[in-house]
Amino acid sequence: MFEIHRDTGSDGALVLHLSGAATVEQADTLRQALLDTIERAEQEHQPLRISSTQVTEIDSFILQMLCSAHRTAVARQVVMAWEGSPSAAVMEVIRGNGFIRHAGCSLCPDDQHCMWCEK
Amino acid sequence: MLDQQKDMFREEAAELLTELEESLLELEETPDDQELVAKVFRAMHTIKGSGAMFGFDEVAAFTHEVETVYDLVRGGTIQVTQDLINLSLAARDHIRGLLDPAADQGVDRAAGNALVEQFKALVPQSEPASAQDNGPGEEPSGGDGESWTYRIRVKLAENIVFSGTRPDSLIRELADLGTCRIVAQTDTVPLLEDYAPESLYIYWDVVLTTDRGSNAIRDVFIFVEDDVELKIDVIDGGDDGEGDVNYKRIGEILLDRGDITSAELDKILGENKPIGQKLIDSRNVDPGKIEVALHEQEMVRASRTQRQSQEAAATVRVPADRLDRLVDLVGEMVTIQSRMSQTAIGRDDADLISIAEEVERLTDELRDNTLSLRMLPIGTTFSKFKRLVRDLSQELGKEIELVTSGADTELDKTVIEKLNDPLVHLIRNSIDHGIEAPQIRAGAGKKRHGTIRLAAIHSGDSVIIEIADDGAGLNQERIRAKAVEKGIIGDQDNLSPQELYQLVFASGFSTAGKVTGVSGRGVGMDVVRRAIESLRGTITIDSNPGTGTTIRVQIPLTLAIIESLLVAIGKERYVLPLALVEECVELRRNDVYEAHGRNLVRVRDQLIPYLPLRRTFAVGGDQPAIEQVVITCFEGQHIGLVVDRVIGEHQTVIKPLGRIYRDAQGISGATILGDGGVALILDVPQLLAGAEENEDSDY
Repeated sequence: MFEIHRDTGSDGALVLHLSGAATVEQADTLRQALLDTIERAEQEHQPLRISSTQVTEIDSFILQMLCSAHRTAVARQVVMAWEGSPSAAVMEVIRGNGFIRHAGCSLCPDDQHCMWCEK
Repeated sequence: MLDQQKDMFREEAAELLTELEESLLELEETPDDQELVAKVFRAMHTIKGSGAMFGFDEVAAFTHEVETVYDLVRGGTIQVTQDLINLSLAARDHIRGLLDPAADQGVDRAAGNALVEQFKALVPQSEPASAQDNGPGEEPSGGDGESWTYRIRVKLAENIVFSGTRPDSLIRELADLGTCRIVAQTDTVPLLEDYAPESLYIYWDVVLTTDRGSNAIRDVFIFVEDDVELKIDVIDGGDDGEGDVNYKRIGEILLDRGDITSAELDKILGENKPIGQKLIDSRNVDPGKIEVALHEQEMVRASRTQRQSQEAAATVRVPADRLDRLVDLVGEMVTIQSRMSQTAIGRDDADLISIAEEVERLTDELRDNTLSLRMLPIGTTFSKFKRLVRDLSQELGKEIELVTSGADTELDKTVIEKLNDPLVHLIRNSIDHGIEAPQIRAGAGKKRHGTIRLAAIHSGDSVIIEIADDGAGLNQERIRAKAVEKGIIGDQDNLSPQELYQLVFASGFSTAGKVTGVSGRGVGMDVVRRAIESLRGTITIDSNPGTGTTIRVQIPLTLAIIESLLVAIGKERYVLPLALVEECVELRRNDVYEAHGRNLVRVRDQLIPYLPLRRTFAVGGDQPAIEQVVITCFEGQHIGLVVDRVIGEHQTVIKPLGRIYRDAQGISGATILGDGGVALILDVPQLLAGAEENEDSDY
């Protein structure tokens, strides 16, 4: 089962907690949640973080959506990053499907870390 | 250094030319075999490329023309015909001539130019007159064990999800084909506002090294054929990049992939930073594209390095004379080891004996390993004969097929080299005298085309080579008449068919009515016999009129070291090949008396003739009361050799006799013993033949 839960971090950042199976079937729900959270972060001038520690399954459709969300956030001057490290299941799909990067894309400003760069 | 490299290229090219000849002859049989066409093309491609690299410009330029034609054959523009095969074989011979170190004197350049013109004439006018250097770009079918590196772009339909396809599983399946690097390209991913949740925006660039071939890659997407844009390019593999692990630069790869224009690249290259950084900073190229270019560079380098180290590990080229020197040294070692063993036994020192035994074990192993280094499959010689049969039968208007078997039978390198000429003579004879013309065969109710079977069989410490034809067989009457005419036999001599056939090996004997360019000069078979005997081998003929002739050549595996039996007569010592020894029995004076002075010994109710070697070799001194008869068996015939004592088994390092002693009867060589003394090696077949002759003259 896929669940989305939003709370606020100690630094005031908006944290979107994803859990369960994040696959294409949940894409519509997730897109809406991401759009809402980016909008609110923009209004509150707060960063946005995605927690995937409870994600048990993910696919390329969701990863490309996180990429789109990051670009949208950048366009709205919202800093978006992972909350902690992605879960092992998420990392496996990131690597297996070729999302890892050494440098962020052209949309990624110098002061923002790309979602796909390994620290 | 350059000379060394040139020599190495010559050796490699010689091997390639041998393979090329084989491939061309096979292609003649199966002109539609695309794999053979590709093999011919690859051989030409490699000779051209390596030739140019090592300064053989003439070879490279000539081979280029042949390669161009085979590129068109590969593409289906030109068909394989008999003329093309003839031309290609002539081209192969010309390349071999050009590679000869003494090429400047011997190469017929006019003939080479004529060949070039003939090859050029085969290229249709609309075709570019040069071969594309398309090692990368051709699509190997896989299954030949060679690894290739592919550049793959996978673009699935945006709505792929509705067909129930999971892109991730396709990518996983692709990755399972070999070693691979995957980069998901995200430059097409829109902002969330414009994002359709179930659409697939990303596409993948994959660099894959696999030995499964491009079809296996396509098979991954077989069920989504209509929903995928698949681009597969070979970027490395086979013979490409041979000897050089370096690959293209990042800028070149991006240019190749169409991810940057040359103007953009030139502009970026002008800046004084590492290219990767310049490209990222320029924001002209998406980092995903640079990522995959880096992967491509890294994978091709890794794949080339691995291939190079595998090749280096698989074979080491060593000049033959170094191997010969090694065999000589091992021979010395065997002699010294034998001396050490004798000394150890003489001193009755348990520790020394134990060490000597250990040294003996190691020496035996060293000897076997060293001798095996010189062993080569006889097939390398066989392939030459295919060409011989093809060319000669065409020349003589005969239809002959050569069937070979046992090509992987191994023989000492020197033996193979020395065997070449005698086998050429024998096969020429079969073609010229053995196999009849097609119309004669048809008239005799035989198939129009004759067959020559060339077989090598491993048998104990020898190899048997059989050349069998299904021709007319030997004409006993003609052989007899010729032998009488030449005074080899008397008019009234009564010879068995087997004895008659052996007469063809007599010097100056030939029954051919006319001397052709092929045979009939009467020197061939005599030379053949001597050559085989110089290899310590034997040759026999069997023939059936009307059905064919079989020639059987038996030769020892090696000429260097043999297992033998050491015997003594008086103070003299002799060795005889252990392979011929069956057993040893005692011979008492009483036995000689009971046989009424005839040289016969009774062994288990069988009378075996013997040869008293003391008398044969005129060894002085007293004869012991009890002598030893070493019973030998050669070609089914038993003969005893009487000696004073049997000392035991011995590793005999064969040393050739000097020129003066070369014709000594009954002796085939000499060896040095552990104590530094010399023992002669007995030539048992010759002793047997001599004994038979003496017996005949006694009557």
